[in-house]
Amino acid sequence: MKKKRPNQSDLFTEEGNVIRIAPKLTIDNTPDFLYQTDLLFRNKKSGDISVDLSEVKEIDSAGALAVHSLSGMAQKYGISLNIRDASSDIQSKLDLFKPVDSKTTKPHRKESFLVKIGDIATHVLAEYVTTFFYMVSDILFWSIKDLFQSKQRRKGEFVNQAVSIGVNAVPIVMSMAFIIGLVLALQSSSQLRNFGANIYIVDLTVIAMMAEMGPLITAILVAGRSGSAIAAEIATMKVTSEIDALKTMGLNPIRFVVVPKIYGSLITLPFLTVLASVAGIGGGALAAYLYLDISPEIFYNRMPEALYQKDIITSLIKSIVFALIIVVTGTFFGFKVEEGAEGVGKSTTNSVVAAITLVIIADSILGLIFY
Amino acid sequence: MEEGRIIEVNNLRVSFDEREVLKGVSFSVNQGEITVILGGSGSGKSTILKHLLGLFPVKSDIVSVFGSDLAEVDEDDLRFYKKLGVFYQNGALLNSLSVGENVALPLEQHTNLPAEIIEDMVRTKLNLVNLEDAFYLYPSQLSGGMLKRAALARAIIMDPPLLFCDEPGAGLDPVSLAGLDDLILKLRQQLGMTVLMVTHEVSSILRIADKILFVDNGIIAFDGSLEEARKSEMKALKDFFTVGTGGKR
Repeated sequence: MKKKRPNQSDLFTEEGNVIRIAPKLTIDNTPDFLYQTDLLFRNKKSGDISVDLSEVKEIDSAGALAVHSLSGMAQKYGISLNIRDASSDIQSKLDLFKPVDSKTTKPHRKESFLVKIGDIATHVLAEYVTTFFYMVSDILFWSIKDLFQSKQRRKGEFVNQAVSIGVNAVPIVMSMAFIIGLVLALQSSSQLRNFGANIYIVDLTVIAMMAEMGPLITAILVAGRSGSAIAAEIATMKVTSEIDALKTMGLNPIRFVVVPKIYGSLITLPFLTVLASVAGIGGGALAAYLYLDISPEIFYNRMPEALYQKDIITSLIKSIVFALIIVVTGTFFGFKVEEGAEGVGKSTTNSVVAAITLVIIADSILGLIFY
Repeated sequence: MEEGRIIEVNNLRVSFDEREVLKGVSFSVNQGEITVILGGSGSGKSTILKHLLGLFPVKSDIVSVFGSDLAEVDEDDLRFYKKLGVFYQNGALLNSLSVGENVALPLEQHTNLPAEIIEDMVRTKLNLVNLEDAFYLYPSQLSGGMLKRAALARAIIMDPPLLFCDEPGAGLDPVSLAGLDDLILKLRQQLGMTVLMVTHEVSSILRIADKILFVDNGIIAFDGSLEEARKSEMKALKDFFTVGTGGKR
């Protein structure tokens, strides 16, 4: 139900050039009071007005500041205003709540476009590129060192990470790869049928899934699933001072938090990629059977002719590179977090976007190298 | 509800899983008083506060605030919630907003006041907590003491007649703590606010409390004035004051 707006008489009464304010002027009726007084002053245009506060019994900060603002409002319409007859209690509130002459102004810098570009470039170079390479070298150093210092390794953490990043991702990765393999073969089947080249659906599916789609689908899904989790975990640890606590306990956060994730992802991503490729090929085989009458047996017999060892190796190399990209990106953005909950959200989003972008760029570069 | 009483709690019982945290808590808070809920860690102080704020559901006829049965108050009942100001232990300022925007937030969301009046109100309240220069600063740029004062400015922006403070002095140095106490006393004196505070800081309690509620083992073990509390022979309460004041009571 819409709230009824108070009438002018509920807010003040007008007797000649005197405005007598109603007993209550609080945050609830101040907006209406300001609206009505503005209307009144506008109609008066000029002259003298006295604001009588003798009947006011209750006033809060909003009301007091509204009374103070009347002078400015009156001045705007060329009216001379006199505020009078406030009780001592009301006067003390008016004295307490009066506009503050603040010396602070909103920070504002006017810079030329070129200076802005330069600032951004310096910032990106200093804050991102340099830090990124320092972090990569740190991660590599601790990952290798940790291999030879098993005593200081957290027991069970590698397995936890392998399960979290790899094993738990198996259902989603396999089902997505199956669907993509099926759709890929389905879309290609009509074109191949036109040329009477039905059997080449096997080559197409196997090469596409093994060399390209398998590693890529896996990496994108893991970046969305585990990359975001890594960034959020590290960012939260940083804003809650857990990272500082590790440092002051003499524990290197990279070694303690990141290295198990590196191991976990490096071990599991190649397996996940193989599973994704197999599921994708399975999807392709189903489409080939349904739309091109290629039986699973024919499909299976044709596979060795289409599949080269090089494609399998390419796929595994890609998966290892992608694993590194996902963990390093998540870690980087986790450590770059700014204060607060919003910072954690931003870090997580940036990490996923950057990881997927870098994975696709790396995929193109590796594709060109191994072509 | 008796006249002059702002809060009345009758036999509040709370259990988490099998563990009974509050075993029938009853007390009242009078208008214009600064009431302190005191007690050891895990005694249930914050649980009481959360029930009074409606953050946990309560049954009918247990908690009454400003004469309204809390069980019947809607979560979005602005007329009720406008009467309450809450000052959280960690400030709970939104990091993405400047101090000025943080303090202005309730006004912008719940009133139709013009922007100039909102800005004047924010600056006045920041001035009241001696933080007038922090209008454009972000919470991450403030010290612990400034953060608390900014949070206090936000809590009182709507001129609430009742102010809840959850361990306001936690993490502050003695000078900042004394400054915060002075501020709370000033607010009570100038705005006539009723204050209900949960705190461990004995020095703070001695400076500002009118009434002490001592929570021990899930019940209000002591309910009386500060003077009575200081003279009490109850061991747990006596220990609090003795240890808290370094042996002097």
